[in-house]
Amino acid sequence: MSLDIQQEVCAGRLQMRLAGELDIYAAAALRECLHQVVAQHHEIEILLADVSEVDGAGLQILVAAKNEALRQGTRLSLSDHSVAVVNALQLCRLDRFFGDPIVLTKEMPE
Amino acid sequence: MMDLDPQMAAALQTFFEESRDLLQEMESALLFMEDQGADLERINAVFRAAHTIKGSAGLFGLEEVVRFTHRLENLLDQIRSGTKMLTPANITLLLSCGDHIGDYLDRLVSAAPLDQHFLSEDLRLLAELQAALGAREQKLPISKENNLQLYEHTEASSSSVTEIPADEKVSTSANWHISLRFGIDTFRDGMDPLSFLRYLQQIGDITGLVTLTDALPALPQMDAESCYLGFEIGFSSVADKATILDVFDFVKESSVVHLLPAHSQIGAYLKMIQQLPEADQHLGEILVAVGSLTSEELQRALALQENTDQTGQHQPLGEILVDQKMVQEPVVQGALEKQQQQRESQSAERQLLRVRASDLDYLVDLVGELVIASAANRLFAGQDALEARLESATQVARLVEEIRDGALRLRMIDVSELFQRFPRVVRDTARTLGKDIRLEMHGEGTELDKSMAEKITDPLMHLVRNAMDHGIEPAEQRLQVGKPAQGCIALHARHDSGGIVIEVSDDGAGLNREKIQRKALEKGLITADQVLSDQEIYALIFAPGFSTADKISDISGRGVGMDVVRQNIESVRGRIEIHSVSGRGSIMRIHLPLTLSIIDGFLVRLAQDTYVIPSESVEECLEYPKVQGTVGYMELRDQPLPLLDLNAVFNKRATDESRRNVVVVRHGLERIGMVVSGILGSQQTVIKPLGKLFEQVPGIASATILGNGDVAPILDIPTLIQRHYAISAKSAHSFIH
Repeated sequence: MSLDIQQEVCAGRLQMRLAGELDIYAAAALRECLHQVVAQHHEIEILLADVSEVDGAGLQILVAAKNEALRQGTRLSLSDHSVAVVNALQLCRLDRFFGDPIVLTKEMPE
Repeated sequence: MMDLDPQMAAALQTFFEESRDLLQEMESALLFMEDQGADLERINAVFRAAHTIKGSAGLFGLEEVVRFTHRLENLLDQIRSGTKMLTPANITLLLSCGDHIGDYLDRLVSAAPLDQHFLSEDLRLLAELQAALGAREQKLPISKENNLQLYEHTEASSSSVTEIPADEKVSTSANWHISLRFGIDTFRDGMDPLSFLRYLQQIGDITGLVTLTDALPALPQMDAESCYLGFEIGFSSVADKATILDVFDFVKESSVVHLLPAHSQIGAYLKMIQQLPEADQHLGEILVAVGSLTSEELQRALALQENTDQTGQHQPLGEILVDQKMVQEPVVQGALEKQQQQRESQSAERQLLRVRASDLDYLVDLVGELVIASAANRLFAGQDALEARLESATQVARLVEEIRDGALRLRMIDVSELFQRFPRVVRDTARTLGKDIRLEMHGEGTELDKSMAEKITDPLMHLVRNAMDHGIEPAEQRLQVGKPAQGCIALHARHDSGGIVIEVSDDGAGLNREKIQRKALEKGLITADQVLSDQEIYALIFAPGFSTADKISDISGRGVGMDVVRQNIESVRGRIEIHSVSGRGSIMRIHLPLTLSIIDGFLVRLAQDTYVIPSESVEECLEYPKVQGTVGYMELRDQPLPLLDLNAVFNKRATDESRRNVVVVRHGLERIGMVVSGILGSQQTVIKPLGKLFEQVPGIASATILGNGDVAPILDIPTLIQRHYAISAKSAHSFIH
């Protein structure tokens, strides 16, 4: 599997670090994992610094996870966006949907 | 509007026609609901009409219509959803809005400027719409002057808009709207939607994009390997349509891809916003408040600007992107698509074909020639006395007659089309008069010539107004004489002996015989000792300058009208008669010929030539009296009948004066005996217009071609009668002095 998922709980908040290719090959496993953690935790931060590639399947899993989190009242945020993630979000104009601050070379608008 | 290529101009023409039909439908539905109460089906019909007009107007870049109709649609939408009631006030407002749109379209067609009057009406209606909507949208305190100025400004910019896309198409890029719904197996087929977007970026600019995730199931239910994504994309590119579509070649089987030319005006607005010194946001809001931009359009303008500012620093306009959800509405393009489908189904329903009127005229003209040729054909066949040839010529003649009837029927419209504007007229007139009047219409299915219908509309309108104003009494008076308080005007149409009869009747007081007689005496139209029948007295109201109304109202009573009514009716070779019963009401009965291009002609001989008198003006035929009393007169049933020797009028030298005849013709009240060399009988004749050279010949209206190929002039009876009276009056005058 080319996507590596690491989880650690830090100050009552689950940090989930994704590394590698967030794509169709990883989608099923990622969905399973997110499905579980969204139900179990109140606050989840997904760290994306090491995501080298994102495709539509990966993106749609993130959207579904965000939806699910909103439904369950879980705080789910994306942070440490890699360039690949930022590009994909901007391409689909989904940066606003997630509403997370994106730190890159300059401040991106909310 | 100018410099359109012919195809565009034709499409625009169709748009105008369709819009008028839709406005008419809208009006009918509104009037029906005013009468019978609101029903959802008709509200929907009104909404659809407004919506279709808006969509089509958008296609042609008629921003004014789009902007206005959008407001109208907002109100209709609220009515439809039940948020607002369809109150009588709202109906009146909606009717005025329909008129206003019609007015705007008329101005476009005639290239009339949008003057101050139009603009103030525009502002008034927008304000009323706003009020009816409840001040939901934020309004900015702008002074009226300011408002107008801004309005005109956008006016200028929107007219320049029409040229911009044309230029851009040639030199730079075109705007498109792409709607994508990827198939569920896209990922499994090894494709990534994002790569399509990236590829689009390579061949053009994604000027706006919304990711649709509506189809995305909840996380627990979703299949991670299925694709649920959809995109709405604003796309600007130099690439042509085929190239853009090729991008989606791999997914076109499994996915839904729509590519449409975008609503391109927004760019121009955006440009203007950017060029003006004021803060973008402020201007944008003003434009929305003034109504030059709809909020949707602003939203889209914002999306565009967002893109141009993608470097990211400064987005003042972006701040007022109120709610991202609003951008997601599949805006005008989606609506257009739907409307296209709607239109297709509509036209399928109607099973009608739009035909250019001039093409039809040409056809009818040719058929006229054919009738003549066929008559000649039969004549010659008869001369040969070959049975078989005569038979086939007769056969051809019969078929030609059928073709003629068929061709003429093409020009026929249902009388209900003529009547359809009357409910509104009656409603508005009744309001102005403060009377309660209902309108009844009968005789749908009766058909008449379209150009006849056009010429008869104004006279009918006048008769209806007149009947409402003078005929129908005020409610108190009606109740006193035991009539229901509500008056009734009825329009009735039917076929009658080769013609059409249209009646305007009312259940009012009827014509006042004494009053008319008194007035006619006053005006010197009749003399005190003249004995006149009811018919003759009623006909006096058609005399020029005659009005019995005691007070002049807006509606009628100026005395200009009834004579014009009669003239108009007679110009299409119709006639009008009045029947009236005091206290019970009156009937104005209009007799019209079926068509304008073929008449029943009465053939007469003047010297060696044949002339045609329209049969409808012929009353009777007599032998020329051997013994004459006063020169120029003969006695007809103890009445003097003025005689007009047609041979003299047309400078004919008649050889055989022994068997002359008198054809008694009538026009209006005047009757005259025309002296002719012989009577040849009646025949259907096809009217041919006269050449320029003969247009000015007095006494000849047009010409026809007879079966033997001879040209026969058709006499202009009204002119002949008038001239005769004028001349005899003059000679009587000079005789006295």
